[in-house]
Amino acid sequence: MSYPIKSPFTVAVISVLTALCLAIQLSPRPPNVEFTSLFTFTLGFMFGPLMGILFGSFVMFVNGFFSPWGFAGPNMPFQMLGMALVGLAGGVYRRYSQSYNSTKIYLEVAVLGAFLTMIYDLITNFGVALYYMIGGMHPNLAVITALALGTPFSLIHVFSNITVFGIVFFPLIKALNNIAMVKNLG
Amino acid sequence: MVEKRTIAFITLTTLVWASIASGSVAYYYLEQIRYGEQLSEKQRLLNEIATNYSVSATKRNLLSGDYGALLGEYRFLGENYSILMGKYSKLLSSLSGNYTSTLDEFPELNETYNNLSDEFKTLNGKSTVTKEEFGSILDKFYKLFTSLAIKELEGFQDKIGTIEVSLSIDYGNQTIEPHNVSIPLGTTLFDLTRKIAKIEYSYWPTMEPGHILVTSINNYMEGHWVWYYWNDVENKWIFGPVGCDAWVLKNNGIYSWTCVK
Repeated sequence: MSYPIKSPFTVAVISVLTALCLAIQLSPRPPNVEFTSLFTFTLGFMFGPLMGILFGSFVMFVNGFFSPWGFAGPNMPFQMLGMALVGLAGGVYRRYSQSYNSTKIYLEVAVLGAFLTMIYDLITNFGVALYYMIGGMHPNLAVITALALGTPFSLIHVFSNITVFGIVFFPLIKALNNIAMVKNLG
Repeated sequence: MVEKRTIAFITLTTLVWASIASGSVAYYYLEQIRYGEQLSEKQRLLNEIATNYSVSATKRNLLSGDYGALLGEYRFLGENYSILMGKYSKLLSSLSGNYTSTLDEFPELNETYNNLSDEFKTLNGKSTVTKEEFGSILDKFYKLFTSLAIKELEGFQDKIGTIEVSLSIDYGNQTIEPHNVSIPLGTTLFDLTRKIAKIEYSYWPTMEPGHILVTSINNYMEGHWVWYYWNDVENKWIFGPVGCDAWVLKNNGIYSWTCVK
């Protein structure tokens, strides 16, 4: 089912999801346990790569200023880029998705969740490495140090997103499709 | 035959695993280096403390020897003790010379030293010094000497570690300033109060232990400043039993300055 971007239904769904995503993202929570990747991936999947990119970068832009973990600073562009990639991947995955039994899609999405989280962390850790470089550290050492010191957080991030993507994505897509069907019937 | 899609997802899984594994190894390696550096630093500090301790012990033993000799002479002498004043003068200047930095660091001990020095000068001007008079300055010398030696040793402990304490300043007008601070081992309540607030105090030579009475904190002097400590066992505030300069703070201790109208 395709959803024209300009339809009031699409605008309403995206607005509600944006508000919900920002509310969760800006609430106090354990470090690196988040639902933004899932929402971004889902929006990319439902409304196309462009919407995924815009949604992901917008949420991370707002998060950069109001995050419970403080102002993101120079790392914000990297966070926006990383989340935009997640949105893009959602759209691309839609194009290559086939008709599946639910077990297979659960597994695929969990693996994609882990992979995209890893890519996101690599990008944002590179942002952290820039801090070290500005502080005078050698670029190679800065990147290795940032990646290594970020690993415990990446572990939490990857495993939490495996769980979130694996468990929530499929029911969320089904729920959104049901809303669309109700709207069409109405 | 395994389909391409499955292979692609297995490859992605492998990439994630490889990335996390490499990151974990690098993290472990960096942490090892960090712990190694911390251990070397601690070892260097321990060596420094051992050296300083030896120097301090030698100094203390020599002064103790001189003091013991003078005390012996004092005990077996007859009527006039003025002949011992020269030796006492040397002992006093030796004390000042050996503990210059400690005297500079702790104003209450410096004050005690100056008072003792003044008392000595007054006695030295007299033609006859009685047994009681000389005994008094000898006794004061020993107390000061012991305090200085302890302070110097506590100074070495500073480098080993810090403790966490909580000190609140209650101005008695509903204004309470809480302070949670990390301080070196051996810090007294007076040292901490001086560190976190601007204080004025008076020195009472006859008050013991501790000679300091705080008269104002942060320019507030609308009453008398008294201090309390929190007793964990009895769960109540206990009025400070000694001068604040004689009360050594303990880890996780809770203290309070209160202005009583």
